[in-house]
Amino acid sequence: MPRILIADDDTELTALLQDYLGGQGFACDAVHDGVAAQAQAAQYDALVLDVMMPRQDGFAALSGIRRSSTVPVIMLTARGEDIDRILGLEMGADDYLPKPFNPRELAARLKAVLRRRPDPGSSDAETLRVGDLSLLPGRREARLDGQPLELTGTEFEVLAVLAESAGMVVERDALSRQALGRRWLPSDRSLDMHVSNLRRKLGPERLKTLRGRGYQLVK
Amino acid sequence: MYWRIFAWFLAANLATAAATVYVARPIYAAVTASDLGLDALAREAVDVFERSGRRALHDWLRRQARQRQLQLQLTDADGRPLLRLPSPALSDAGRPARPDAISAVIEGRHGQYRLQGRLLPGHHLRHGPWLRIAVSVVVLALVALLFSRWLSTPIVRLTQVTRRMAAGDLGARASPQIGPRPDEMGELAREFDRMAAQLQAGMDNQKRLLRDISHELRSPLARLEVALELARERGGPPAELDRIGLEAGRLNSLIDQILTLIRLESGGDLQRAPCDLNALLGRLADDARYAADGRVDILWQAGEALIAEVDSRLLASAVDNVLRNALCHAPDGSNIELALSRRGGQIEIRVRDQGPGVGEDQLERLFEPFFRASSARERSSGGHGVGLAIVAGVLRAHGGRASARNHPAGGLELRLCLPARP
Repeated sequence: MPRILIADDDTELTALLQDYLGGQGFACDAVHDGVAAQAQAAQYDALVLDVMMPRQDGFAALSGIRRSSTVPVIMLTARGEDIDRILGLEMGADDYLPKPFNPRELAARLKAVLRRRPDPGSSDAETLRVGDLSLLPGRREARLDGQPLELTGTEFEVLAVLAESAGMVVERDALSRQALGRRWLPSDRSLDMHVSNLRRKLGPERLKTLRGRGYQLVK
Repeated sequence: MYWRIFAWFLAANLATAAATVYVARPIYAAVTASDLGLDALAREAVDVFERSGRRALHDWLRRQARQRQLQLQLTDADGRPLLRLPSPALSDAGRPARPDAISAVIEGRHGQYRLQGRLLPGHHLRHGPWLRIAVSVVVLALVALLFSRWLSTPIVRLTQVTRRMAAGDLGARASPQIGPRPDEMGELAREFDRMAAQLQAGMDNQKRLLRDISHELRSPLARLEVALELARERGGPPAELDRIGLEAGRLNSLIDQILTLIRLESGGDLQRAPCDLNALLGRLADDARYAADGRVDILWQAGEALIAEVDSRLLASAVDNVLRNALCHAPDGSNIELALSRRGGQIEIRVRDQGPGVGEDQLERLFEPFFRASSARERSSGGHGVGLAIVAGVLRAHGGRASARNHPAGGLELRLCLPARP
């Protein structure tokens, strides 16, 4: 059973979430400030981190956690908060949910980020190659010209989907379904953000945006 | 101020008086006999009288009066007039001579004569003091100009500040405009500023309250959503729970919109960056087409790249709101036109639906928060009446404006105008 740490200062909400996620097959613990979240992060399979927390906010906690760990993190944000910053290189969250959210959505996103975790036992065998870019789906590693790329789990997933159809256009909805595990909605900017992170890491000429259609990894 | 106005009036009056004296001085200045050349005239008069008699003297005196504007009278040594002409000096009546009468005494062949002379009014005008009058007028006008400027400038400035404030700039203050004056005008400016600060604080408090309430409402809503899902899991009545979920969703989106509106009105930080509006609108047209789900089509002609410095996220949400509004009113199977154009320094985005339009008297009010042109229909489409207020706020923040009109060929057309350069 995957172990989830929920960090939110709303104790009533965390109690309800523990109850709900418990029913969905997650083992949940709750902490109520950023310092505790950062201290305990290493013991869990995924984190749900609220931005507004006492002692240390979610942003500070996340950058602390990212210094030593790639544990999947889903940020809970107020609507209208700077999504670019949360998903961008600076923070490196795997996903975010604006509050208030549907807990079913949270459960789905938790499953999606957990699925994207590396599996240490897998071999290098099933390597995916696109030019000088190589992906090791089992280990969730990507190399560009032999140099390892620092990708979050979600970014790797997006890149893997694009690499499988390299040279072809992958529509936004299809990419969202395969990489993020959900339908694409016009209001959801996270796919755009993950792609623009990838473009920065790979170089802009490798990843094309086809306006109104989707994305393409250039062969 | 009171004493200043007093002093100014006093100064103005003194200046007027000084000017009067200045102009009148040559008129009333004592004219001496030599000024008029009276000695020479006396010699001539005596000569005429002694040689040609009274009649000739009479004619000569009249000629002098006409030509030189001089009234003359020749008397004998005892002051008895030789002719019966009006006497310029009343000395013969035993009264003192008129102050402006002057005389010259001369020896004739038959004794002593006295010529008395007086300047006629015409004399002064002929040698008119026009220059002096002009100088006085200029000086007085200058004094009056300085005074009225001193009096009106602060009032004009105060009016400007009041106007700015009425236009919604609650940060407008009078003191920096008027300067540190210790008088009543300075006092008025300071009181105005105190009032403005009070108003601003009141408005800020109200906004903060609204914002805090909106934020606080989210926590129970978040809990409500989780509890709702738990109730579903545990087999609660699905229809009722769906209804609760729907209403919670409405509350939530209303709170979102109010918060957005507050952020815009508090003159939030625009994150301007160069953005291709053509690409942006293309993306939004796609999104709207997706949302319309085949019910309505979005007509959009992609043109050349049009780069502008805008907050692309805010502008996108504004256009998205306008498109959604159009989608709400577009009849099934109709089209919504989206167009982008640039005229000079102005960029214009137009969205036109083929719906019924709105009453002419309601066009301006469309952009007011919570105004509904047609209440029954909009609610069914999930609107809150805040969307277009957000649109107007976004355009204002960009230094542009949003307007609406009923298109001559039918349907409502919303126009978003913004300057190409910030």
